Amino acid sequence: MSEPIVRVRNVTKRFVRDGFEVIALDQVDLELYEGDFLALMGPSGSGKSTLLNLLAGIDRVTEGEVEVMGTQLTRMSESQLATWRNAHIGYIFQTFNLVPVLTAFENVELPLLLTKLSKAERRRNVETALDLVGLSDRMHHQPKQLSGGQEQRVAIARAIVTDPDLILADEPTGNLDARSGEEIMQILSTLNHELNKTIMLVTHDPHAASFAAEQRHLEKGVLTEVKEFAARQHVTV
Amino acid sequence: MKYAKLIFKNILRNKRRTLLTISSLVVSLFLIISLATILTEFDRGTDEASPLRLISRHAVSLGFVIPMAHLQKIKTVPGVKDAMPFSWFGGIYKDERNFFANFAVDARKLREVVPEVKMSDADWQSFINDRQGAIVGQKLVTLYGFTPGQRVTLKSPIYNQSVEFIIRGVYTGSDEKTLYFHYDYLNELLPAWAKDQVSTFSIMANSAEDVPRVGQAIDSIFANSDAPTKTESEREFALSFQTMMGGVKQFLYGIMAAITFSLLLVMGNTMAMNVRERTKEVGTLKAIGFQRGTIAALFLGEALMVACIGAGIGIAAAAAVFNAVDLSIYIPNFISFVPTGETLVAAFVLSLFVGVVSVIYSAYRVSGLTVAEALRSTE
Ligand SMILES: Nc1ncnc2c1ncn2[C@@H]1O[C@H](COP(=O)(O)OP(=O)(O)OP(=O)(O)O)[C@@H](O)[C@H]1O
Ligand SMILES: [Mg+2]
Repeated sequence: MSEPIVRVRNVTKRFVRDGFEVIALDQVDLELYEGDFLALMGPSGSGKSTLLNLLAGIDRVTEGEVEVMGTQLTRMSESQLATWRNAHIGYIFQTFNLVPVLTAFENVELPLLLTKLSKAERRRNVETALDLVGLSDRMHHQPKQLSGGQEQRVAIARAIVTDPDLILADEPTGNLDARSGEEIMQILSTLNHELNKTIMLVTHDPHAASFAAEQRHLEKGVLTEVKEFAARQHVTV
Repeated sequence: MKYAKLIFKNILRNKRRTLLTISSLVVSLFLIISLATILTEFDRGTDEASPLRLISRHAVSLGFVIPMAHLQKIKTVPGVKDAMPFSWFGGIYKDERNFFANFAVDARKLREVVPEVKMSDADWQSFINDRQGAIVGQKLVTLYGFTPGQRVTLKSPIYNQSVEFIIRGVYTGSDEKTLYFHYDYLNELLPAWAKDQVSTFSIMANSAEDVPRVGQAIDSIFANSDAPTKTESEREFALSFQTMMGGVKQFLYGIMAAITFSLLLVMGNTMAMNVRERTKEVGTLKAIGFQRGTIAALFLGEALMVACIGAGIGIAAAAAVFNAVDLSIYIPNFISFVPTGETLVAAFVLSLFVGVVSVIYSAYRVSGLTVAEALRSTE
């Protein structure tokens, strides 16, 4: 078997707030391989976002080790992590987090501004990404001219435009109606299915989770059962 | 630069706020440039004083007069090329608001002793030939419409005497706001108690090296007379006026500092709001992979762009307005009221400085947040 893309070993994350210590993650172990599609579920406050943030290099562990694509995140500086994130991680937020004054095209282009790509290359990649999420015709719209579902599709295009190794999505359907949520899950499913993208999804919604190949649950910072799906029954593409 | 568009769009994010900031920049810079131009004029007296001329006055103060008879002795001092009376008349034209300087001089020597005053040979001739003649600067013509041949009456409160002159020429150069006339003519009209006296003599030295020695020699001649003199170079004379002006200059600098300070507060407040409102966005940018330095530079670029736009408009407006209307016409002793290149450059640098200082703390703080902290922001 090939090397895992993500290797989380014995990770504990504690927060101190108002003098109280909160254990957000308690000795978590996790491995993801290329092409995996994992849905992480669990009640509010169970540590789902915390785990996702550790994988993205957005937050740091208290104990343990996080290795992504063979890189030890625990030993990198903030600046190194930023560069690393740009190259390897695509992050999708519950609240889309688009820059309101930029068009869909410009939002998707943002991560590419940090690369050495030429203007023409950037344009080509942005157009490809927007095409993948079905928004070629909304390229020059501003976020406020788009529906929530469309905004999240732009955010997905922004997350995949650098062709990252790992896509992390924190409740991407949490702010959307059922139909838009369905569309978003279809897109993620396609990315996993057709382009073999490795995806880790945090969600409260069992239906959204059912798009994933595998489900894990967090309870009070402890990772519990493994629930494998025999087939990806929702893929309709 | 690929971030220029992003910076520009960020400026347009809150158009009204940006417009207000730019307006306060424009107004402040206009004011600062105006005040700086006044300060430039204050210094002009010393900058443009003739290195060859001396001014001799009563040792006690300008308020005392000295006898005309001193002139003969002054002329014999070695190093003196020429000398003439240069006597303050203080005449008022019609109304006290119409203030302009007027001096009784030796018409035949004026051209030699004050070569800055420029006029055609024909005008010089007709001035010299007419004992009642007077010449006026070009700006007085602009202000009062004086024309050659016109009769002008000046009333001096010092002598309580009205004197009528006939304009014989219009000169350019120097301040262009002085009226010169014949000392002899005035002297005849004055009452006995005021005759044969002057407020100052204007003395031309042979060379700049002679100037200090000539001053000392003249003063030593009259040291023990009824009217001891104080003779100094025109530059020193102008400087002593400046010392009187020192407080005013300090005051103007104070106002300029206060304007700059309040501009800093206004812009600092705006930039702090801009940055704070975008804390979450900073988190997003960091999650995408933006470095702390890049994010800080984007905010800095934003403040600098606003500062440049405000400075550009303010400086252009000041330059255009002061070139179109020469305010020096209305201000006594001012030769011009056009901001110098240095003033404009300094104003530009000042606004860049204000731009940088206004944002530096907010940008430093927000860019230093961790990604998680910034993303959690609820602003
Ligand atoms: N920066 C922080 N400071 C203090 N406590 C924190 C911080 N971030 C998270 N926590 C705490 O850690 C625990 C896990 O939080 P986390 O956000 O990972 O939960 P979650 O599973 O994503 O919840 P939700 O479903 O509501 O998003 C919670 O108790 C939370 O209050
Ligand atoms: Mg969460």
